[in-house]
Amino acid sequence: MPEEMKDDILDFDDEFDPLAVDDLDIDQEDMDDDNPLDTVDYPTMRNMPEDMRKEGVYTPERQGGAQEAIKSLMDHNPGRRPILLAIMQMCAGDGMPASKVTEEVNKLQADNLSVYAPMTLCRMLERAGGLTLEMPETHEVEEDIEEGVEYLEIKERIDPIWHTTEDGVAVCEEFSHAPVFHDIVLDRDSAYLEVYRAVMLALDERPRTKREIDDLVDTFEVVKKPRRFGGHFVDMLERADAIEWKGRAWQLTKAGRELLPLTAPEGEE
Amino acid sequence: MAEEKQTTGEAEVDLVELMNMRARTYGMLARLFLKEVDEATLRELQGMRFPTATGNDRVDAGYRMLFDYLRLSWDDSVRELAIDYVRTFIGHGVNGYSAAYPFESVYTSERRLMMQEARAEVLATLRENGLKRGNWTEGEDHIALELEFMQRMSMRAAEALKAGDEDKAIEELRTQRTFAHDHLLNWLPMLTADMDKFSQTKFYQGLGTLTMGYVEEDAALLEELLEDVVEDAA
Repeated sequence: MPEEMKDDILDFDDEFDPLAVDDLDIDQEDMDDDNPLDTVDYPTMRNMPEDMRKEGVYTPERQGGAQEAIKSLMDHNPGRRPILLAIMQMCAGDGMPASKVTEEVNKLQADNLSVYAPMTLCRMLERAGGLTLEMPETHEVEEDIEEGVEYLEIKERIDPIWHTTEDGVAVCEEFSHAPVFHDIVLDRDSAYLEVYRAVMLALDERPRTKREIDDLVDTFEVVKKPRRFGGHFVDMLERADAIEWKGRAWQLTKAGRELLPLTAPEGEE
Repeated sequence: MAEEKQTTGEAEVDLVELMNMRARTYGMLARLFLKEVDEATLRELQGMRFPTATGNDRVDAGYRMLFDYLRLSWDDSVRELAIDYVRTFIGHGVNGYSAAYPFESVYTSERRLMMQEARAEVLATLRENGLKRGNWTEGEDHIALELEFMQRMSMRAAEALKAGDEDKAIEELRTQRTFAHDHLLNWLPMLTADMDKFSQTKFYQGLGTLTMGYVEEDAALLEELLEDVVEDAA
């Protein structure tokens, strides 16, 4: 290699300081020229408008109403839907202290772990317009004196109360298991009613694994074309709160047992 | 410092207790800078007493801000504080001015880089005093480590005083005085000003104010104690 080239390659810029790069100086057009495939204009965080940074994804403003925002939140978090509904149900009426909500949600998520902490779920519902937070009144601050030293002390811990809004209550009613079951199982998927019934009866007998449900579903001709797998029936029944994942298997819920007679052929109800 | 109890002005001070108290305060500050507040720490902080008239306005204001935040804290505050910790000390952006970076090197090097001269000096001080960094994997000039250094030295001073080894105690105090002047006081005003700018909770704003006030006050105390030593010797 000629000496000249070697020098060029090894000629590091002593003045270069990666931390001194100012993202205000970044020229998006230059970046686009460098990589013609990269046509997305990524705003840097610092240039991002303040209101854009803070805006929630599911909010009444964005979805055009609190009920729409709550439903959208649940649609995009199907695994959390039963928990979100349960939170709104438990906080309806007089509301529930945050510590109690945490306790209840932890129980509900024992077999359905989530990366979301209970209060994070509450905050998501709050942003969507499903919950409001009532901060309790605190007493006036009092100063104490001990051994001549004046100090402040926190005498009580606060436990704010979560309340479900009217929109939250309306969504709970709409999403109660019976109407959803009617809509999905008895109406849209009525062609597969016998399959639903078989799955529910099997789960009523004992908890089953996904493999067992798949095997059972595959015994029906109706699922061959168009092809339907066990997962579809699990999804639909879970959406109607008829089944739940507990103890590493699918089980029929109390609501599922109440709904089971609706799947019986005419004359057998 | 002929005895464990020293007369400072009118009041008689129990030096061992004073050193232990300094160690506790530095320990608390170090913990709060080291990582996010967890639930156990939040409970512990809520059980604290917050002095209102220490004689240092910054310390009083800092304690008051912490108190105001903590008395309205609940389960969700741990999450809020975790977010604010990241916002305050890590931030976003690549220009070196997007957070209150907790490393002395960033504030004392021309190009705001980590692992610069300050880190080498702190590391040397730790070694000189027989301290290892344990499982710490970042620069030793982190504010939490510098505050913990003061805590360890205060504990050593307390032990020396308890054992009646005055020379050793004086040596520990001198080390602390030098360290506070050469390091903590050298960059804390800039760090705490940035904390005030980047944090959005009274908690981290209060922590910055309290730390600045306490280190200033403590440096003055060390100065006073060591001045007495010189006078005694004379």
